[in-house]
Amino acid sequence: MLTGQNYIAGDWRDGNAAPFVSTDPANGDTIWTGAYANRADVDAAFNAARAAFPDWAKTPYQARRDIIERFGALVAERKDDLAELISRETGKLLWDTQGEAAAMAGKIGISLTAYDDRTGEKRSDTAFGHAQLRHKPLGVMFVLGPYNFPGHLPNGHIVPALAAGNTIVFKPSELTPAVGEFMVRLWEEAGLPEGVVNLVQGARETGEAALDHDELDGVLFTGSHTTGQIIHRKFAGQTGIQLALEMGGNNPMVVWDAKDADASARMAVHSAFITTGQRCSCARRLILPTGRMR
Amino acid sequence: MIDALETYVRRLPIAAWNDDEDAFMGPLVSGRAAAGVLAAQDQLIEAGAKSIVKSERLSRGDAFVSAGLLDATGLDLPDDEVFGPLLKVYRADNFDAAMMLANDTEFGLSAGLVSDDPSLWERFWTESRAGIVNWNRPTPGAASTMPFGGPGQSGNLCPSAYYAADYCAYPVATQAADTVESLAIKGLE
Repeated sequence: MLTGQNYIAGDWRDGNAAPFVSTDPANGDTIWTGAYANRADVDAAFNAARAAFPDWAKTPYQARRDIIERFGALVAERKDDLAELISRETGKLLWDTQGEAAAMAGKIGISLTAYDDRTGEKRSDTAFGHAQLRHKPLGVMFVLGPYNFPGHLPNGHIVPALAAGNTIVFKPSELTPAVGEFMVRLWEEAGLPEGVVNLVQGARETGEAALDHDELDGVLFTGSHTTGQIIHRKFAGQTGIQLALEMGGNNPMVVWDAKDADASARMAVHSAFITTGQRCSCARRLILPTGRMR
Repeated sequence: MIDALETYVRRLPIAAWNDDEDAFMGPLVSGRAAAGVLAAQDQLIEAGAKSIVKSERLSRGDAFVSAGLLDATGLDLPDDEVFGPLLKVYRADNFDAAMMLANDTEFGLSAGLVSDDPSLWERFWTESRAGIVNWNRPTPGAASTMPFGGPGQSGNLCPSAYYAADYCAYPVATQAADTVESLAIKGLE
């Protein structure tokens, strides 16, 4: 049951700025009604994330893992509901959103493996005692989700950030608030302590309030080149803020000396038009030999 | 190949998620997004691109547009991402020119080569500038077991997916001893 609220410090609360809705692009049906988070809501979310950070960071890795794995099990259990909700909110076809929901469930194990593989601990004895390499979480991460993969892409920031011991303020795209709320409700159900993940709904002003916040330690962003540039400029010189910006592409596909013209054409169609061209890795430019390959 | 491509683009089935028939494309995320794609197509045509298959709004709703194919050979178009179903075709006289075209972008997310020739793949892999470089596979369809991101304007070289672990934690180096050793300091007794 989605209520259109924000999730702050373990409480579901109404947003205090203007109301907004999310609609099914295929038929205009309203599928979610809520309100934008204002600066005070965003402030409360960051303060909650900051307050929750020390305990979450100190929670033994195995205990964090257990909660993340419970979340993964819930995603797998509700994957059909999740896929349908993504379809209703984005217009994406069901085979596409079923793939997205499956990728979200699959992400859990892969992210935990990646955490062990890419970070981990190393210790060696030395003449004076020992040398040790360990990893620490950064603090409060602001996750900005896109609309094209409203579940899978923010999930790809949230799961690794939580595994490492960070706390989170999550703002889904204003086009996909329902999927954002659905995900956060699964985190709540998985037993995540209050304040570890906070949800603020909204568009540009909500995002700006978050980017202005003093308790921000990092911005994990997947979205447009324009917005990514604005974020990068805003934090120029602020080396203490972690930025992970995944932006677009103007991606080439070269077809050259391929005998099977039909298979090549299908490869180009798939690459350019999957998800109605709304993937950042879609081919945008097809390069062919002059004159040949009619 | 262009004939096969044109045929497929014209025939590409479009539906809503709860329609009965199989389809490859749904609507865009909003009517506004659809209007943006059509406006971008108009601008490309105005800049000299030749429409092979025109992307058009469908009667069933303002977020529905059909797939579009344009010939942009020889044009110097803005290096913008159009986030929708438009594909531009460029012709190159030789593989050197094709590589130049492929890399003629400030972005660097994905790049693909479709070819039977392994030596072309070797060249493509070496000379392409992107974080996802595929051979005889689609450009999308990234694996969670791989990094996702690329150089240039595609991001800030903090790839996501498998490498997200890197930007979620920072490494801390420690040297430790159980007792305080009295260090030898040159010149001090």
